[in-house]
Amino acid sequence: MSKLLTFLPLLIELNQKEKRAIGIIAAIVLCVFLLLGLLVRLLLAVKDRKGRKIDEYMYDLVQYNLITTPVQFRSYVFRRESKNLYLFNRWYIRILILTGIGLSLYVWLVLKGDFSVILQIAKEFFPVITWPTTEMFGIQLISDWPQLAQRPIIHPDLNGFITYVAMLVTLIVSIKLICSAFVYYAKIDRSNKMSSKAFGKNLDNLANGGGQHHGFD
Amino acid sequence: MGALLKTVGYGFLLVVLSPLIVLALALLVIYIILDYLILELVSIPMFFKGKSFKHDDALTLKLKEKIANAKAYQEMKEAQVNAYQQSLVTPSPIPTSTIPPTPDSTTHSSSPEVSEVNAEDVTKDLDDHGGNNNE
Repeated sequence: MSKLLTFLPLLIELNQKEKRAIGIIAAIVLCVFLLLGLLVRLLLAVKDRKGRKIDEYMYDLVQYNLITTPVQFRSYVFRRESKNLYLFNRWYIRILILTGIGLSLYVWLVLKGDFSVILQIAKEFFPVITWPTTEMFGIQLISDWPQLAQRPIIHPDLNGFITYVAMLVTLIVSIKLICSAFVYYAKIDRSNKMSSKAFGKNLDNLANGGGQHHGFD
Repeated sequence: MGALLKTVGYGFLLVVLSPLIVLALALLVIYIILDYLILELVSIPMFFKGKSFKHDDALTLKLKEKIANAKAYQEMKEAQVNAYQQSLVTPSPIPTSTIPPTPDSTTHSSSPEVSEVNAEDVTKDLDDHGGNNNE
């Protein structure tokens, strides 16, 4: 921060070209924030839609007074969704565990326990990218497009095949688990919000002429 | 313009809070794996008893039965209250002036206050005798 303050007078003395460069950088940063903001809005919309799935089974329970308190509401959703998590993800996790066991057995029996071979193949699968930087106002800033330092190296043998299969399985299961975690969070979050809303005494309902009612918005 | 600024703000928040979001997602994934391990262990004894989580729909059936009972009970209660109120509102074919006043005639008055009380009494009776399905 002190470095920035030191170079603050320099900003005033910038020439036209440098000012234009700073303007372009600011516009790019703004565009990146805008794109990320659109992504957040999309995720919030998906969260809202997925959270509303609990309405399908909670509506009747609340409507006919089978669930009468916010604690019961949250507890029921939690138990049901925990069970659903198990039912939806069990085969993905089982396949991941079986893949791990298979890979460990292969390394133990064929490669004599040398895990570094597998790790090296996995590491070389990804390209190495370097970002050229330059020092501006005492800070290292990216100055150019990234450069490819090392191309991906494919190993067309049994070791490579087994490593790639294990990587693919891990990737698919990870994506599935992250999606499940997001959906689970959406449902639990909605249950927390609706539990107080459905059973709370809300004066808005009286003001709108609807009286006290249990329900979802 | 406001919506655009809000979107940019969301993007800025995502950048600032991304480590926390990643941490929260990682914790949730760990929770899913723990949930799987616990329920998998619980399902082992269930397997030897010939049950499983997927086919264990006793709770669901019980719940469906409860919902149906509660629905039927509520409909019956509403129908009885409506019928009782209807009987109070319907005019008698005999002129009331010809009926001599009785000491308890106020209980059959069609004034709104009394009819509401009577409707509540009916509801209370149903609660007492109709069986409470809220258990």
